[in-house]
Amino acid sequence: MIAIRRLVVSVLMNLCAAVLPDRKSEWLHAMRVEAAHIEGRAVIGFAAGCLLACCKERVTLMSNLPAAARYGIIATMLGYAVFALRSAMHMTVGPGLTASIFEGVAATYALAAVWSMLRGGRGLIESVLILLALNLGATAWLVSGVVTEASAFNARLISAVAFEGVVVWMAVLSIILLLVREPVSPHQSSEFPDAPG
Amino acid sequence: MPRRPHRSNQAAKLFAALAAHPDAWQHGYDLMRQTRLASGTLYPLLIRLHEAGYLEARWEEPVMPARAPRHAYRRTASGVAFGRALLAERKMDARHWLREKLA
Repeated sequence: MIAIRRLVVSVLMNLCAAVLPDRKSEWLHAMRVEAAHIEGRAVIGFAAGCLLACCKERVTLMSNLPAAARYGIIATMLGYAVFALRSAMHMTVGPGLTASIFEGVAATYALAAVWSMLRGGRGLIESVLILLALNLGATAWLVSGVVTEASAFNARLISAVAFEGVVVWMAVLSIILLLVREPVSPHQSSEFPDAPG
Repeated sequence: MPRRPHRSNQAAKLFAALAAHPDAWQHGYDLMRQTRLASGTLYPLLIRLHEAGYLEARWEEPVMPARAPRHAYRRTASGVAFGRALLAERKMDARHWLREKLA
Protein backbone atom coordinates (compact mmCIF):
# COMPACT_ATOMS: atom_id res chain seq x y z
CA MET A 1 0.00 0.00 0.00
CA ILE A 2 2.82 2.38 0.94
CA ALA A 3 4.63 1.44 -2.28
CA ILE A 4 1.54 2.29 -4.37
CA ARG A 5 1.16 5.56 -2.51
CA ARG A 6 4.78 6.47 -3.17
CA LEU A 7 4.36 5.53 -6.83
CA VAL A 8 1.33 7.84 -7.17
CA VAL A 9 3.25 10.65 -5.47
CA SER A 10 6.22 10.05 -7.75
CA VAL A 11 3.99 10.22 -10.85
CA LEU A 12 2.33 13.43 -9.61
CA MET A 13 5.71 15.00 -8.86
CA ASN A 14 7.03 14.04 -12.29
CA LEU A 15 3.98 15.74 -13.80
CA CYS A 16 4.82 18.78 -11.65
CA ALA A 17 8.34 18.76 -13.13
CA ALA A 18 6.88 18.72 -16.64
CA VAL A 19 4.50 21.59 -15.94
CA LEU A 20 6.49 23.95 -13.72
CA PRO A 21 8.54 26.63 -15.53
CA ASP A 22 12.28 25.84 -15.42
CA ARG A 23 13.29 28.90 -13.42
CA LYS A 24 11.13 27.67 -10.53
CA SER A 25 12.66 24.21 -10.34
CA GLU A 26 13.89 24.92 -6.80
CA TRP A 27 10.27 25.13 -5.67
CA LEU A 28 9.66 21.72 -7.20
CA HIS A 29 12.55 20.38 -5.15
CA ALA A 30 11.07 22.01 -2.04
CA MET A 31 7.70 20.31 -2.70
CA ARG A 32 9.33 16.93 -3.36
CA VAL A 33 11.30 17.06 -0.10
CA GLU A 34 8.23 18.19 1.82
CA ALA A 35 6.21 15.28 0.38
CA ALA A 36 8.86 12.89 1.69
CA HIS A 37 8.12 14.14 5.23
CA ILE A 38 4.37 13.56 5.10
CA GLU A 39 3.03 10.31 6.49
CA GLY A 40 -0.08 8.40 5.46
CA ARG A 41 -2.70 9.17 2.85
CA ALA A 42 -2.29 12.93 3.27
CA VAL A 43 0.74 12.79 1.00
CA ILE A 44 -1.46 12.04 -2.04
CA GLY A 45 -3.55 15.15 -1.41
CA PHE A 46 -0.37 17.14 -0.87
CA ALA A 47 1.15 15.94 -4.16
CA ALA A 48 -2.10 16.57 -6.07
CA GLY A 49 -2.14 20.10 -4.62
CA CYS A 50 1.46 20.56 -5.73
CA LEU A 51 0.45 19.64 -9.27
CA LEU A 52 -2.31 22.25 -9.10
CA ALA A 53 0.23 24.79 -7.79
CA CYS A 54 2.57 24.00 -10.70
CA CYS A 55 -0.29 24.39 -13.20
CA LYS A 56 -1.07 27.81 -11.66
CA GLU A 57 2.58 28.80 -12.08
CA ARG A 58 2.50 27.69 -15.72
CA VAL A 59 -0.66 29.75 -16.34
CA THR A 60 0.98 32.73 -14.62
CA LEU A 61 3.99 32.42 -16.90
CA MET A 62 1.80 32.01 -19.99
CA SER A 63 -0.28 35.06 -19.06
CA ASN A 64 2.82 37.23 -19.41
CA LEU A 65 2.04 37.82 -23.09
CA PRO A 66 2.93 40.86 -25.22
CA ALA A 67 -0.05 43.26 -25.42
CA ALA A 68 -0.30 42.95 -29.22
CA ALA A 69 -0.74 39.16 -28.98
CA ARG A 70 -3.26 39.54 -26.17
CA TYR A 71 -5.44 41.97 -28.10
CA GLY A 72 -5.03 39.88 -31.26
CA ILE A 73 -6.43 36.83 -29.46
CA ILE A 74 -9.29 38.88 -27.97
CA ALA A 75 -10.07 40.16 -31.49
CA THR A 76 -10.15 36.53 -32.69
CA MET A 77 -12.68 35.70 -29.97
CA LEU A 78 -14.85 38.67 -30.94
CA GLY A 79 -14.50 37.71 -34.62
CA TYR A 80 -15.74 34.23 -33.79
CA ALA A 81 -18.67 35.68 -31.83
CA VAL A 82 -19.69 37.90 -34.77
CA PHE A 83 -19.30 35.00 -37.23
CA ALA A 84 -21.44 32.68 -35.07
CA LEU A 85 -24.12 35.35 -34.58
CA ARG A 86 -24.27 36.16 -38.30
CA SER A 87 -24.52 32.45 -39.10
CA ALA A 88 -27.38 32.06 -36.62
CA MET A 89 -29.23 35.03 -38.16
CA HIS A 90 -28.86 33.67 -41.69
CA MET A 91 -30.07 30.16 -40.86
CA THR A 92 -33.48 29.77 -42.41
CA VAL A 93 -33.50 26.04 -43.18
CA GLY A 94 -32.53 22.93 -41.25
CA PRO A 95 -33.27 21.72 -37.72
CA GLY A 96 -34.41 24.54 -35.44
CA LEU A 97 -31.89 24.07 -32.64
CA THR A 98 -28.91 24.73 -34.91
CA ALA A 99 -29.46 28.50 -34.91
CA SER A 100 -29.85 28.50 -31.11
CA ILE A 101 -26.58 26.58 -30.74
CA PHE A 102 -24.81 29.16 -32.91
CA GLU A 103 -26.28 31.94 -30.73
CA GLY A 104 -24.96 30.12 -27.67
CA VAL A 105 -21.54 29.81 -29.30
CA ALA A 106 -21.59 33.56 -30.10
CA ALA A 107 -22.48 34.37 -26.49
CA THR A 108 -19.69 32.08 -25.19
CA TYR A 109 -17.06 33.71 -27.38
CA ALA A 110 -18.25 37.21 -26.49
CA LEU A 111 -18.12 36.29 -22.79
CA ALA A 112 -14.61 34.88 -23.22
CA ALA A 113 -13.49 38.14 -24.89
CA VAL A 114 -14.99 40.28 -22.10
CA TRP A 115 -13.43 38.03 -19.39
CA SER A 116 -10.05 38.29 -21.15
CA MET A 117 -10.32 42.09 -21.28
CA LEU A 118 -11.31 42.40 -17.62
CA ARG A 119 -8.93 39.83 -16.11
CA GLY A 120 -5.81 40.55 -18.16
CA GLY A 121 -3.33 37.87 -19.26
CA ARG A 122 -4.50 35.31 -16.71
CA GLY A 123 -8.13 35.71 -17.80
CA LEU A 124 -7.05 35.28 -21.41
CA ILE A 125 -5.31 31.98 -20.69
CA GLU A 126 -8.31 30.78 -18.67
CA SER A 127 -10.62 31.71 -21.56
CA VAL A 128 -8.46 29.99 -24.19
CA LEU A 129 -8.23 26.81 -22.09
CA ILE A 130 -12.00 26.78 -21.44
CA LEU A 131 -12.80 27.38 -25.13
CA LEU A 132 -10.41 24.59 -26.12
CA ALA A 133 -11.98 22.22 -23.58
CA LEU A 134 -15.52 23.10 -24.72
CA ASN A 135 -14.66 22.54 -28.39
CA LEU A 136 -12.82 19.31 -27.60
CA GLY A 137 -15.76 18.06 -25.54
CA ALA A 138 -18.28 18.99 -28.24
CA THR A 139 -16.18 17.33 -30.96
CA ALA A 140 -15.74 14.13 -28.94
CA TRP A 141 -19.46 14.01 -28.12
CA LEU A 142 -20.58 14.60 -31.70
CA VAL A 143 -18.02 12.23 -33.25
CA SER A 144 -18.83 9.46 -30.73
CA GLY A 145 -22.07 8.75 -32.61
CA VAL A 146 -24.43 9.53 -29.73
CA VAL A 147 -26.07 12.19 -31.87
CA THR A 148 -27.92 10.72 -34.86
CA GLU A 149 -28.75 12.25 -38.21
CA ALA A 150 -32.33 12.68 -37.03
CA SER A 151 -31.38 14.90 -34.07
CA ALA A 152 -32.86 18.34 -33.42
CA PHE A 153 -29.80 20.10 -34.83
CA ASN A 154 -27.40 19.79 -37.73
CA ALA A 155 -24.80 17.54 -36.07
CA ARG A 156 -22.41 17.58 -39.03
CA LEU A 157 -22.28 21.36 -39.18
CA ILE A 158 -21.87 21.73 -35.40
CA SER A 159 -19.16 19.04 -35.24
CA ALA A 160 -17.30 20.75 -38.10
CA VAL A 161 -17.44 24.09 -36.27
CA ALA A 162 -16.33 22.43 -32.99
CA PHE A 163 -13.42 20.70 -34.73
CA GLU A 164 -12.43 23.98 -36.32
CA GLY A 165 -12.53 25.50 -32.82
CA VAL A 166 -10.17 22.78 -31.54
CA VAL A 167 -7.69 23.52 -34.34
CA VAL A 168 -7.89 27.30 -33.88
CA TRP A 169 -7.50 27.28 -30.07
CA MET A 170 -4.73 24.68 -30.19
CA ALA A 171 -2.93 26.99 -32.62
CA VAL A 172 -3.56 29.98 -30.33
CA LEU A 173 -2.20 28.01 -27.35
CA SER A 174 0.91 27.10 -29.36
CA ILE A 175 1.44 30.76 -30.27
CA ILE A 176 1.09 31.72 -26.61
CA LEU A 177 3.71 29.12 -25.65
CA LEU A 178 6.07 30.54 -28.27
CA LEU A 179 5.54 34.14 -27.23
CA VAL A 180 5.69 33.86 -23.44
CA ARG A 181 8.34 35.90 -21.70
CA GLU A 182 9.90 35.00 -18.38
CA PRO A 183 8.95 37.78 -15.95
CA VAL A 184 11.97 39.29 -14.26
CA SER A 185 11.58 39.52 -10.51
CA PRO A 186 13.71 41.95 -8.49
CA HIS A 187 14.53 39.05 -6.12
CA GLN A 188 15.16 36.51 -8.86
CA SER A 189 18.92 36.88 -8.86
CA SER A 190 19.20 36.08 -5.17
CA GLU A 191 16.69 33.23 -5.28
CA PHE A 192 17.80 30.23 -3.25
CA PRO A 193 21.49 31.02 -2.98
CA ASP A 194 21.92 28.07 -0.60
CA ALA A 195 19.86 25.53 -2.54
CA PRO A 196 21.17 21.96 -2.32
CA GLY A 197 22.38 20.48 -5.59
CA MET B 1 -11.55 45.43 -11.26
CA PRO B 2 -7.93 44.29 -10.84
CA ARG B 3 -7.17 42.38 -7.64
CA ARG B 4 -4.79 43.91 -5.14
CA PRO B 5 -1.73 41.70 -4.99
CA HIS B 6 -0.97 39.62 -1.89
CA ARG B 7 -4.04 40.85 0.02
CA SER B 8 -6.25 37.78 -0.20
CA ASN B 9 -7.78 35.93 2.78
CA GLN B 10 -5.23 33.19 2.17
CA ALA B 11 -2.35 35.66 2.41
CA ALA B 12 -3.82 36.99 5.67
CA LYS B 13 -4.00 33.44 7.07
CA LEU B 14 -0.40 32.81 6.07
CA PHE B 15 0.84 36.04 7.63
CA ALA B 16 -1.11 35.25 10.81
CA ALA B 17 0.56 31.83 10.99
CA LEU B 18 4.00 33.32 10.38
CA ALA B 19 3.36 36.05 12.95
CA ALA B 20 2.47 33.42 15.57
CA HIS B 21 6.13 32.28 15.52
CA PRO B 22 7.90 35.53 14.60
CA ASP B 23 11.51 34.36 14.39
CA ALA B 24 11.01 30.70 13.57
CA TRP B 25 11.69 29.17 10.17
CA GLN B 26 8.60 27.15 9.22
CA HIS B 27 8.17 24.33 6.72
CA GLY B 28 5.51 24.15 4.02
CA TYR B 29 3.58 21.28 5.60
CA ASP B 30 3.56 22.96 9.04
CA LEU B 31 2.17 26.12 7.43
CA MET B 32 -0.46 24.05 5.63
CA ARG B 33 -1.65 22.59 8.93
CA GLN B 34 -1.70 25.94 10.70
CA THR B 35 -3.47 27.84 7.94
CA ARG B 36 -5.59 24.92 6.71
CA LEU B 37 -4.62 25.95 3.19
CA ALA B 38 -4.12 23.18 0.62
CA SER B 39 -0.71 22.82 -1.01
CA GLY B 40 -2.26 23.98 -4.30
CA THR B 41 -3.04 27.32 -2.65
CA LEU B 42 -0.12 27.62 -0.25
CA TYR B 43 2.80 27.09 -2.63
CA PRO B 44 1.73 29.64 -5.29
CA LEU B 45 1.26 32.08 -2.40
CA LEU B 46 4.71 31.31 -0.98
CA ILE B 47 6.23 31.77 -4.45
CA ARG B 48 4.45 35.13 -4.96
CA LEU B 49 5.40 36.45 -1.52
CA HIS B 50 8.99 35.27 -1.92
CA GLU B 51 9.24 36.99 -5.31
CA ALA B 52 7.77 40.16 -3.78
CA GLY B 53 10.44 40.10 -1.07
CA TYR B 54 8.03 39.53 1.82
CA LEU B 55 9.35 36.05 2.60
CA GLU B 56 12.82 34.59 2.76
CA ALA B 57 13.49 30.92 2.19
CA ARG B 58 16.37 28.65 3.12
CA TRP B 59 17.31 24.99 3.04
CA GLU B 60 17.56 23.51 6.51
CA GLU B 61 19.93 20.71 7.36
CA PRO B 62 18.00 17.45 7.91
CA VAL B 63 17.16 16.41 11.46
CA MET B 64 16.95 12.61 11.91
CA PRO B 65 14.97 10.68 10.70
CA ALA B 66 14.75 13.13 7.78
CA ARG B 67 17.20 12.40 4.95
CA ALA B 68 17.04 15.52 2.79
CA PRO B 69 17.29 19.23 3.59
CA ARG B 70 13.89 20.88 3.96
CA HIS B 71 12.79 24.23 2.67
CA ALA B 72 11.82 26.69 5.40
CA TYR B 73 10.23 30.12 5.30
CA ARG B 74 10.27 33.27 7.41
CA ARG B 75 9.09 36.85 6.97
CA THR B 76 11.56 39.51 5.87
CA ALA B 77 11.50 42.97 7.50
CA SER B 78 9.23 44.25 4.72
CA GLY B 79 7.11 41.09 5.13
CA VAL B 80 6.65 41.85 8.83
CA ALA B 81 5.46 45.39 8.04
CA PHE B 82 3.25 44.21 5.17
CA GLY B 83 1.76 41.40 7.26
CA ARG B 84 0.97 43.74 10.15
CA ALA B 85 -0.74 46.20 7.81
CA LEU B 86 -2.69 43.41 6.13
CA LEU B 87 -3.89 41.86 9.38
CA ALA B 88 -4.85 45.29 10.77
CA GLU B 89 -6.77 46.03 7.58
CA ARG B 90 -8.55 42.66 7.83
CA LYS B 91 -9.49 43.38 11.45
CA MET B 92 -10.91 46.75 10.42
CA ASP B 93 -12.82 45.13 7.56
CA ALA B 94 -14.32 42.59 9.96
CA ARG B 95 -15.33 45.34 12.42
CA HIS B 96 -16.84 47.42 9.62
CA TRP B 97 -18.83 44.41 8.36
CA LEU B 98 -20.10 43.63 11.89
CA ARG B 99 -21.09 47.27 12.47
CA GLU B 100 -23.04 47.29 9.21
CA LYS B 101 -24.78 44.05 10.13
CA LEU B 102 -25.77 45.33 13.55
CA ALA B 103 -26.93 48.73 12.26
